[in-house]
Amino acid sequence: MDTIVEVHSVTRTTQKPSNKKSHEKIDITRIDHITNVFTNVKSQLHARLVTSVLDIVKKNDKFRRITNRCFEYIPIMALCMDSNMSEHSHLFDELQEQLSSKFKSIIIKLQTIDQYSSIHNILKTTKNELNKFYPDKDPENKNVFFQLSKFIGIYNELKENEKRSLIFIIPEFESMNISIFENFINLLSLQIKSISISFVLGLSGGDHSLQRLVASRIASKLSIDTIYDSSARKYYEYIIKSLFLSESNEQFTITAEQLHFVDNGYFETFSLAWLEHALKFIAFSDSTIQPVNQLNICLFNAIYVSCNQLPNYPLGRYRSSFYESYLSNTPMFNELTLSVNSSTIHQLDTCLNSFIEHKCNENSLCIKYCQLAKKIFLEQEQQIADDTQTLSNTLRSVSDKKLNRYREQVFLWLKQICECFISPIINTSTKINENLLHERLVPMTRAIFIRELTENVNWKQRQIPDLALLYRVYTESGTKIPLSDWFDSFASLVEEQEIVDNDKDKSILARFVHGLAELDYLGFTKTSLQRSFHATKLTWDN
Amino acid sequence: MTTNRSVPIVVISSENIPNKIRNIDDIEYEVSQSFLPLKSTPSRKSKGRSLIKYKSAPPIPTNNDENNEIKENEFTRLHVISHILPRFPVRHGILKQKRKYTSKKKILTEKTSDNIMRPENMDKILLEPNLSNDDIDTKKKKKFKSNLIQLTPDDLHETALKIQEKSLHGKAHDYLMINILRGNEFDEWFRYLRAGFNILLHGVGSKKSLVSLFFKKYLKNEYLTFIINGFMPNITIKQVLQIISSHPDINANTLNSNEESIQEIIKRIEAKKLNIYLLINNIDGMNFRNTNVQNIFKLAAQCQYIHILATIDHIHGPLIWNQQSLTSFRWIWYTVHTWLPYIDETTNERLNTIRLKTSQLSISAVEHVIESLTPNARRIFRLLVEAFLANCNLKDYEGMKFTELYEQCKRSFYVNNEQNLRLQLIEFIDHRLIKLVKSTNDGQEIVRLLIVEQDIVKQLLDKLN
Repeated sequence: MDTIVEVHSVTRTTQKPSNKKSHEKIDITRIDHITNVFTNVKSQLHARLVTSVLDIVKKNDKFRRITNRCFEYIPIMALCMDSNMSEHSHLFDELQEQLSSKFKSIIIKLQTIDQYSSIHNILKTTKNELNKFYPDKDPENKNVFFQLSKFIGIYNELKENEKRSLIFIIPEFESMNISIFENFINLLSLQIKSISISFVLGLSGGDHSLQRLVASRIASKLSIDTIYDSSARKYYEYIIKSLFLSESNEQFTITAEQLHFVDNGYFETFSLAWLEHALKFIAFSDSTIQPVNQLNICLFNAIYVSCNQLPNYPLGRYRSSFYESYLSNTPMFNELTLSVNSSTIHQLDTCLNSFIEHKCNENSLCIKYCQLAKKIFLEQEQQIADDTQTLSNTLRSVSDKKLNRYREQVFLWLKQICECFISPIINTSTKINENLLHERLVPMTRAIFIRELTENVNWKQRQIPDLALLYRVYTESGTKIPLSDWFDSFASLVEEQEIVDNDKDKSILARFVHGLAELDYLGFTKTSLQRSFHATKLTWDN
Repeated sequence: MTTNRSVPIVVISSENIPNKIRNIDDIEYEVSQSFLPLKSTPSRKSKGRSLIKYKSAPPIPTNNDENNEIKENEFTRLHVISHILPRFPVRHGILKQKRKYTSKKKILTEKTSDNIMRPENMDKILLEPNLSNDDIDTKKKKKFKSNLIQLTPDDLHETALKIQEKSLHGKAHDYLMINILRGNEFDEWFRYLRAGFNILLHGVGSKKSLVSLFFKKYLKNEYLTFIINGFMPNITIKQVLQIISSHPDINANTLNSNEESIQEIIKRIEAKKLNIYLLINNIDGMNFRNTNVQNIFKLAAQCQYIHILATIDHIHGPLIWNQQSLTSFRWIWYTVHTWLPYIDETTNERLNTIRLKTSQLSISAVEHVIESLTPNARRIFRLLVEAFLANCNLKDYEGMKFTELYEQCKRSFYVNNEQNLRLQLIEFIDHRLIKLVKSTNDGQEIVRLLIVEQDIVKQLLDKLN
């Protein structure tokens, strides 16, 4: 019988030749580069959020100092991250560090579930932090529940320069029970006149994450500032630009197919960790890729802007298919035309403005197109300046010639960019195509397994294995499979393909039972021999 | 494969009217019209079945043309349409009338080799006992069960080895290298492992040999490697961590909490910059399926010096990870269909499959029972186990003698008297661990252990110790 763990130590001898493969150098510079890019982008975007929070805290602090008044509401700074909070743990560490160093505040971070599972635990954590600055002078109180009112009594007796504000940081607010939070706010609201209290909440979702808070009973006691400076799309844009569109030496190319896969995968899961893993795999796997269909700065910006700024239908929603089709040189401008034709002046203006804002660095062609965009924008601005306030600008007016002409110009401009920057398709030498990416990163293991079991093509020259024969009968059966009937069918299938002597019935039975055990082990059946000789089918497939 | 109840149908048609197929209802109707008395047969084979007994063949209506003569001794043909089709729709009026005169119907199930049958022969056939498919089924099931009971775990093990031998022809490595690995997969795997990715293998067939082949080609004598057999039913993460911690190159302290242990191991490895390889056979094994264990593996995977190559077999294997865990592992998935039989992996399932009539228990069940025993009971059971292991190689060894067991227990102060020992043994019998039998040699009482497999008994002894 096997041991649980086999241990194989290193036993190098001078005589035996060592494995050459282990001494081959592996180039992981690209992988390290990707890690650095991700860290930099995260810290760059986190810095923006930290700055926004610090600004708000500074403003509140100034108000209190100048007016010498307290707030009527508890200020809440809600950071809507639009992605998994576990990927942004450094943000809250940075926030804690900055707040504690720049302001005279006591920071209480409720990061584990235990800490905010009940009010008692929250108060316990608060007490631990407060004791660092205001040690408990009464030794008898050590074992008693923390009484906020008692603490406030002591706090009020302190001098002004000894007083510190309280800032609570809750990174994963959505995993906190709302009723516990409501009770806690009710408790704190009694004391806001004596002590400055504020909250910084982390929310994974977008706008809808705040609804729970806004709709709660304590909404009237809160003053909520939402900070939206972080979104999944923003992270993606910055990362792709830094990796493929920057001037750095570590730049590597990616094909349209690979970018399409990455784009689809990321916007399904909104997981930066997955994006990092997929990009590292692509970067490491195909180091010999020819620069075919190279992603270009201008093109990427134009596509990104047009997808995000033009109306949602049909462009904004199908971004990956849009630039995949353009990058693969298929002249499908229908979606672009439809989108431009259905957009208003304001939307077209925003599109052009954003593109000018996103202009690439020092790229001559990009600059040329930026100038062209500016020209269109200025021309139209003059012509339609009078119409900005009228309702007709918001309607799709077919008869509005000026609008049509403007739309036409924007459309031609976008088309020119796409056509100019799409290089002709050469037979790609890359082996990392979309199928392989799916196989390596997001395989459909169950479908692959069952396809292998059912395909008879592989077995034309050889005998079909027992497991495949058993599975064939399994698929045709109902929930409860009587074992004797199953055995009969199996035996007849075996006899069809092999010559079996009559005396060897037991060998077929042994093979059958072994196959049953294998199906049990693989999770297809649950065999019960103690009551009824049946196997229960556990999987159902087409 | 649902078993349809077979409903055999007899159809009688006449040569003179070749295309007309008359069903049994028509015949019954005609019979009822002609008021022929019908007797019921004495036996009733099954519920809902009835026999129609005809004294003579029912009259077959013919066109009474002047030109046509009714032939004497005309033959009737028996056409069995299908033995699985349901009956033709019954006319309720006829049914009511039938109930007056009929009590049973008899339906033929066999195909007749010659379709030509004389009326008097048909009577004989109809008068024969009811041949139903149910009888054949129960006979088959009984035969199947009796054959199954005779199978032993050794039979199954040998069968599995024969299946493997058939595909490998004794050369596992050649089979794998030629038939399964068609490219430079091993090279790729090694490159990815060294670059910081982890490899996960899936596909039909046992991948244990493949993993060991990879180890021999790339890791043997080069890197510290731990091959973890996750398919074993008695493996625990604590044991795995203890073995890894206790290795002299790592030398980490084993702590109470598993998470603390793995973090300690990671600290030591990072301090020494020691590359270690974990080859996990069945990371989706029975005892590895909970979140806590997978979190331990996740922490290990995130360390840059720990490289993991694992296999999964269960059809729902990937469900043990959520999206976040999946990305933390940094898996690169490879599909490898070896089609090798699962021999070592299915030990427990094979034993479970042939454990019949509740006379034997699975390993986990026995271990669970042992845990629930009192310390004294465990000591007594240990005596039995030790005696079994000492004598199991003897051919005629039936079990430990009751008197011998009593002597040993009395000497070690486990029991005061025979009655106490018997009470204890009754508890073991209730738990289906032992059986009290009379020896064939001298008629003495023998305590026979119901667990026959030596390996399992050795495991139990370790557990008891």
